[in-house]
Amino acid sequence: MPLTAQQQKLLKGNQGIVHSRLVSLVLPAGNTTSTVFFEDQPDLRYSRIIAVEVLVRGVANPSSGGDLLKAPPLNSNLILGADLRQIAISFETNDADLWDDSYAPGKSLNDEGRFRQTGVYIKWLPLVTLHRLWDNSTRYGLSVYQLFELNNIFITWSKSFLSIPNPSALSGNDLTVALQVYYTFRSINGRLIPHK
Amino acid sequence: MKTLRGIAKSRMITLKIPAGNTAASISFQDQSDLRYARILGIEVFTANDMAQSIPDNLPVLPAGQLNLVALTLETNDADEWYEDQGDSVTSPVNTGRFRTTSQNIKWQPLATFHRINNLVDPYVFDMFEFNNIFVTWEKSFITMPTPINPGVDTAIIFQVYYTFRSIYGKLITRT
Repeated sequence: MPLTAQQQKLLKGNQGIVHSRLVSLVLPAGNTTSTVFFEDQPDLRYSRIIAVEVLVRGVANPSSGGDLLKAPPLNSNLILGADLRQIAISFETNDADLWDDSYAPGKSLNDEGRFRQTGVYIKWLPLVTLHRLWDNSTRYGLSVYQLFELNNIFITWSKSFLSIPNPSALSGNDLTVALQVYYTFRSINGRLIPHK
Repeated sequence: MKTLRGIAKSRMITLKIPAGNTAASISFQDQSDLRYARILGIEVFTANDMAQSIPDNLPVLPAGQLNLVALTLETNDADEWYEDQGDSVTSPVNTGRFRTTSQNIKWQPLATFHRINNLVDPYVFDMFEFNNIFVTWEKSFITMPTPINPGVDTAIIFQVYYTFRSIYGKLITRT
């Protein structure tokens, strides 16, 4: 049975990038905790996240190769490619399955980006699944072919976190996990989400 | 009927290979929170991709061993969707509850689930996506013709992408 026009609209994929920002999480020097939370990202509040990718500094020789050496605006050192395998990421999000079948303008929760409940619906995702850049200069892999795209997802950043089972295995101190976040203030229904 | 159009829900599943293992087959544990979930995609990782499993912090299957393992999933018969019922609440397709299940994904080489280019393990470009598949985890298992016999408890980790919407877009009751 073909999808209805409404279902096709609700399930449509992402069609090009409209907003993007780097989100950084600095792992403090001497960190020994296995769970580190993101800070609140006020300007991303109520935004529908279209995709996320992670960037790394290189492998063992950060002066050459790598995706990005330092994360603006803090200018802190990014994690190395070899650190990817030590980290998993969890996102606190809305329940993306609860889009409103009987959508009506101004009534659907999904159109507002405001939800009564959220949960850790993306849980313990190996960080490597977000790494899309293939670095020829270092011939270092750990990359995927596809951008990690999301469907009807709004992230509560202050409740999202990194899991690092063995913090001492990271390559150094004061490392930054840098995520490039692609987002929109249009709901999956195409309605503009109030955000200012 | 396209399945995975951007990710909405995902969780890591760990299958433990005990130290000193000699068994050629190891079953999954029940994954109670994934019961009635429609599975959209699965991928697998080696130690070159992710060092330890979460939350049990086991070392992950070493690189170069994917070719020792095949995966069998006990599922519904995905071809039996009900053309005449559509969004009907009574359609099994809309509830994730089935009278019979069987090994419809059988002896699938684990490498076909590996999407990470780590310069050691074989990999594919695209995620392994499913169409109208609900997995009964405690009846699913891995097969190792030559049993992997690790010195310490070792994990094979899978990232499972899922939804509680049926292929018709109907919300699936979870309890």
